[in-house]
Amino acid sequence: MTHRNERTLSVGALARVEGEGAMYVRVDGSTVQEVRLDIYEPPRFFEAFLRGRSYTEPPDITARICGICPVAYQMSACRAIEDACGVTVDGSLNDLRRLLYCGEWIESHALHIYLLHAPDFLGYPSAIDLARADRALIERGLRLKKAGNTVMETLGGRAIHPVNVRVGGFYRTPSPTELRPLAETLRHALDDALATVRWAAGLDFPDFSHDHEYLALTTDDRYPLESGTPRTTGGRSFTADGFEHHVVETPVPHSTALHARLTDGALYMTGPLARFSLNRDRLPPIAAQVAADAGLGAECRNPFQSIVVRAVEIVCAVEEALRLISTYRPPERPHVPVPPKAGVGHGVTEAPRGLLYHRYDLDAQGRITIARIVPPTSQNQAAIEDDLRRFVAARLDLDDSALTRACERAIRNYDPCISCSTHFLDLTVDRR
Amino acid sequence: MTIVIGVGDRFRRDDGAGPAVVEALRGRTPDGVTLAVTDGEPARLIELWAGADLAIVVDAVRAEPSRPGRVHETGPDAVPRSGGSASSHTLGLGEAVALGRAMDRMPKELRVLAIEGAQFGWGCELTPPVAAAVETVAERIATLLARRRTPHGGRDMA
Repeated sequence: MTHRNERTLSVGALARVEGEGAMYVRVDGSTVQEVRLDIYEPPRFFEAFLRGRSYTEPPDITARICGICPVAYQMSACRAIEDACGVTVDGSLNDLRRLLYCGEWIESHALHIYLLHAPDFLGYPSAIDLARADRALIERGLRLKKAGNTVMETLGGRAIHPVNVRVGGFYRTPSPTELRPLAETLRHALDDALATVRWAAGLDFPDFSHDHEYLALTTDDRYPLESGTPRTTGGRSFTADGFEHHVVETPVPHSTALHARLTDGALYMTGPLARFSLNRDRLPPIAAQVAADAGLGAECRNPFQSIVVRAVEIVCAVEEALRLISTYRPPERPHVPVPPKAGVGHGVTEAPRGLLYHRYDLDAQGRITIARIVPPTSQNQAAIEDDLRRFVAARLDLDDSALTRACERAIRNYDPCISCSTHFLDLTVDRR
Repeated sequence: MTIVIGVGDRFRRDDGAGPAVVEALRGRTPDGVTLAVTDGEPARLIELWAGADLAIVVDAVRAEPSRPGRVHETGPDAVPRSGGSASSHTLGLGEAVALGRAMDRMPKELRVLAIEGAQFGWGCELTPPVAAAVETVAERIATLLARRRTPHGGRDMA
């Protein structure tokens, strides 16, 4: 460690397929020269794949972009296409969409908290080692995940790539009787969700914070999921069709993903911390209470505490799902007609990882001429790199392997699509 | 209960081999056999196979040296922890086996059929040797299942 001027930490195979994602940190003396996070980005392939296809196809096709958040892609796609065609889906059809989305949040957050994030806090190399040491803890995570899964199966037809969603609504809507067993499952899940918050609040959090502008949807009365208006902690507010005016994506040489910034160049972040900070007063009652009990203030600016915020959001999703089931009145028809129309449509919803934007340009027959998809992970990439730069600069006394582990842990705070594989990295450390 | 699980992503070329085998098996399995497709996320895998008498998992692999279309048949002990599977899964099949064992959620018998792939980039087409292997593997599974008929009701989860 002593006579070394330049250090390079290089982590290959961050992504699921070798070579598609990597972390690179170059330190010169006591200065962090460079931090690069190379995140692969499947939406670019799908944007091209969608061109020339029918406006009815994006919900099914884009659901395949991510196995963990297919509903998010379906919901943003439906919103954008309905916007292009001048159709609004509301009432109990929108409630069912929200219910389906709750299932995805529960499943995705439970996966991240218990199988990916918890081992970092408890000092285990993986969830498997943690499961051997504390099986009851992982059992709770799997029960929660399964509850979310059950919501998705009941409404979506199946859990992984739901097939029941279509432009205008659903192919088939459930009867209140069909939703009853779901309520029973969710009542048990609420106990597990509350226990998750209490457990997460007691973890030790490294001292770190950031001051990025936060971007999230907001609504008048409810915590945002399937709809809302984009707003930032810096006071910006715009409708979905203004997204591309307020967010500028530029290519960077080291990544296939584009880097997003706000139009004045400001770094910003989307995701649970942003959602919570902009919507804390819209949490349903139980979630609001446990957030306060967990010691979360008006804003949360320590990315390590995102595990607590995700836990609160699981409570929120379970509570919302129970409310939606208890007030459910079946819609008159499973979907509203959406006749094709030439035009441009924009859709934004809150994926578990943050704001997900879709835009479709349609011709008069409803053929897609342009598709644009901006996922949360690529929006956050520049801000994550900025966080890592400061995080590394404060920990230069660590040796290479400890510093690399710390960086991997820091990256997992943001739950990027690649986070799942970062427990099992092929690691190389170059010293120059 | 018997379940056949195709693991993979049909938008990642040869990674779609597992789901393609499940597709090819439709209508060719005895009553009582469940067909499922999943992305390989361990919690989902163990949820699918927990309690099964027999689980057959079909996955794509990258091998070195490579012979695309070659089929490897193994049991749970021969599945490596990460690195072996080139599929776009969150974690590998090896992690699912390890997690399943830690949580006591393994099938009574687990068979893994791994098809060596060549191309894992974006796209929907299987390469010709992998497409040929898909039919071979489907036939092998159909024959195996016909010999081990189970009386219980199965589900189509694919």
